[in-house]
Amino acid sequence: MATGAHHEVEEVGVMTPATKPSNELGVGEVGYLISGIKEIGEAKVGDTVTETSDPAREPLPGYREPKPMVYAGLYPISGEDYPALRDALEKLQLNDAALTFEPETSRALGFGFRLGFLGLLHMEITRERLEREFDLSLVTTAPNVAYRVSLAGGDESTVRNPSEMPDPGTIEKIEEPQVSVLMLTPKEYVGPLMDLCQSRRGVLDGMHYLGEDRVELRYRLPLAEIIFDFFDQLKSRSRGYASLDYEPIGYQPAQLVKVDILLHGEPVDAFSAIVHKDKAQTYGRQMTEKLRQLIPRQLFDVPVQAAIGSRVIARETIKAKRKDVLAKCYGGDITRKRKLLERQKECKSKMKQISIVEVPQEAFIAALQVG
Amino acid sequence: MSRFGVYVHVPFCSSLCPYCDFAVVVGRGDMHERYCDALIDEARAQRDIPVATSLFIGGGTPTALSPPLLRDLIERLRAVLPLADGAEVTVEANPESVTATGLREAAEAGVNRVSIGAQSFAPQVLRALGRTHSAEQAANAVAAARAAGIGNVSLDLIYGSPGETMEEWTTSVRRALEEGPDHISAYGLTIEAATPFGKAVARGAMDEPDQDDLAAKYEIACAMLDGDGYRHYEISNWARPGFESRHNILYWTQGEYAGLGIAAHSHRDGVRWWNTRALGRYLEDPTNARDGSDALDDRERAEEWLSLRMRLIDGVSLDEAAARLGRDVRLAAEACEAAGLITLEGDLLRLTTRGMLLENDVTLRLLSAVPVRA
Repeated sequence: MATGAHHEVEEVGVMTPATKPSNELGVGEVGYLISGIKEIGEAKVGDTVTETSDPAREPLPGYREPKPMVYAGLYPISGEDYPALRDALEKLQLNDAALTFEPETSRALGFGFRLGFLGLLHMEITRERLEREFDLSLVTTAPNVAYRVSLAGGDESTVRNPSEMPDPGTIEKIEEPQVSVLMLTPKEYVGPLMDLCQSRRGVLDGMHYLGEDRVELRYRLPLAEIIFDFFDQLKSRSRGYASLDYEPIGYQPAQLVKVDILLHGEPVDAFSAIVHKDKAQTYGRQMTEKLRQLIPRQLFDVPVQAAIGSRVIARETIKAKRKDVLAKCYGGDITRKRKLLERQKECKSKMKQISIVEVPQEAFIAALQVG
Repeated sequence: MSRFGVYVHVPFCSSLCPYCDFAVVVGRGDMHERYCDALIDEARAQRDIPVATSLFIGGGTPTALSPPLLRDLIERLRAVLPLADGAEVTVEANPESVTATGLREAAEAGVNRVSIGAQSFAPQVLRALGRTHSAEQAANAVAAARAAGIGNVSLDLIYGSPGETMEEWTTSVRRALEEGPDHISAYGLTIEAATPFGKAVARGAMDEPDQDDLAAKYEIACAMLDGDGYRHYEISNWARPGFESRHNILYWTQGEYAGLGIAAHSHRDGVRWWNTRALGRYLEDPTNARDGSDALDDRERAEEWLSLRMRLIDGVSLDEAAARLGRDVRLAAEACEAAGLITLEGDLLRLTTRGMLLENDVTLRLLSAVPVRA
């Protein structure tokens, strides 16, 4: 009923678990229905099926479509794999109703998708399945949340890709998703956990002692602060004893800025991030330093900058390389030099060109890794 | 007469230098004679060997062999492998094992060129490099060679040793020049994984040589040597006109040569091959010591030609490069020129000093035909 599509029922039956056709499926039975639906999109999970000749007035309640909490960009390393990735995502979505995706392009990464997940675990599993079950080599951007942006003219939009954040000059307000976090911990770790939450822009909602030794901590935190390594930090600060649960509690305005990363003056959209203004400096410094270490030296100096709008907040320079020549080239060196040159040629053909900077694939992927 | 070289490897050394990744056997004086016999067996087994225009005895430390043994080896080799008149006959030597009388014996066997492993004239650096000789001994070795009547003396130098100051390097170059050699080789220290230096770097006990420091020292060497009567003819080699290493030029011009001894490399009839590094296996059957080979197809040969030719400062003809590679490299060359890496005079492509330091990059760009924007 959700799609309004009509199909001929070819067969009904029950699962035993093998399919066992029968003449009818009645109240209380669980089974299957085959009707020649060809398009994956026509079979929405939670939908109600009714007879064309005598349709029900209203669909059954079904279930609430799970809302994605965490987004990430997913790109095939080789552009040729794009159709294969698309097919794989469609197949995955068949038995994973919580997975959402839509096409996306990145100047740095090419054609790919923006995926929506229920959380980090969901993201990990999906990526793992895509790589293993469908044999795809993929690049994932750092996970991010969806922001609600109100523009000066009154328009509102949802931004799921950091690089799509509008010009700061046009923005009136940015709201970010908040969660209520419940932590259960032995009392000796309360201090470190409270520190952790405080450092993540958390607001204490309550603290209760459950018995002598256990404490229940409630905090309100921006979802964006949870999705990186909050869980890992929680576990390491509590030596594994603390537990974590959270649920969304709506959107809150916040002082957020978009930090762009520029390589030789050119912004690399894949590295853009939306961070709280107090954390912008740290993010900028970390990212520029990381890129300085990962990107090989070129024939010229390469400035790596972090900027908010046109204001540069951090800068590193990849100094031009001065020497790469082989000291000796005698009989025993010739074959080795030739093989090295072959490998380097191979590498060069796979280089990503960002402005006039050549970035090897591995460096690019490593730079995108979280952390 | 067409050129052909014979390389003979004498692996014996009194100690192992921490940077060396050649096939080296420390001590084993008991094996010297047997090894020389094996070399002769291997020489005898060579098929259709052309008359050699150069014979190079390298190592290891060829002068670790006693002078009579070394002389005997050379004479026996010459009996089996024909040498052209005026052939260049080189012996590598270490300062601590070189005497005038010893070199005179070698000279009588036909040696007319000695390559002395001085490496540095700074005591700290010699220590850091694990050398067992002093700066004085290096100077004496040159004098000994001259006294022995050897007309072509070469000195090897290494820069970039751990802790080496700029001053220590310039001193080494200056002292080397003062000895008046006919040929100087200067190598930037390279760390190979399977050496004591390599392992020290891997476990963090030693820093990798700083590339900028190496570059600066190279530039100093160029400045000091180019102006002093030496012609910079290969990236790491300088010579008084006429004293360029005939044997080594074979390597950079895809010339042919036969290699005898452990780990020795050969290049004949379009195939490159090399002997085992294992002394035991070599001694067992020196006529059957091949351990690996590399046969190239036309494309690979053409690309190898360019990558070796680039090392010669004389320059490369763009037309010849295009003919061999089957594609035009002028665009890539012009981009390299714009980046200050080469000069282009008509058809001739020559590396600038900056380009010599970045020769790998230049070669890569010419072979990949990827334009570089400065």
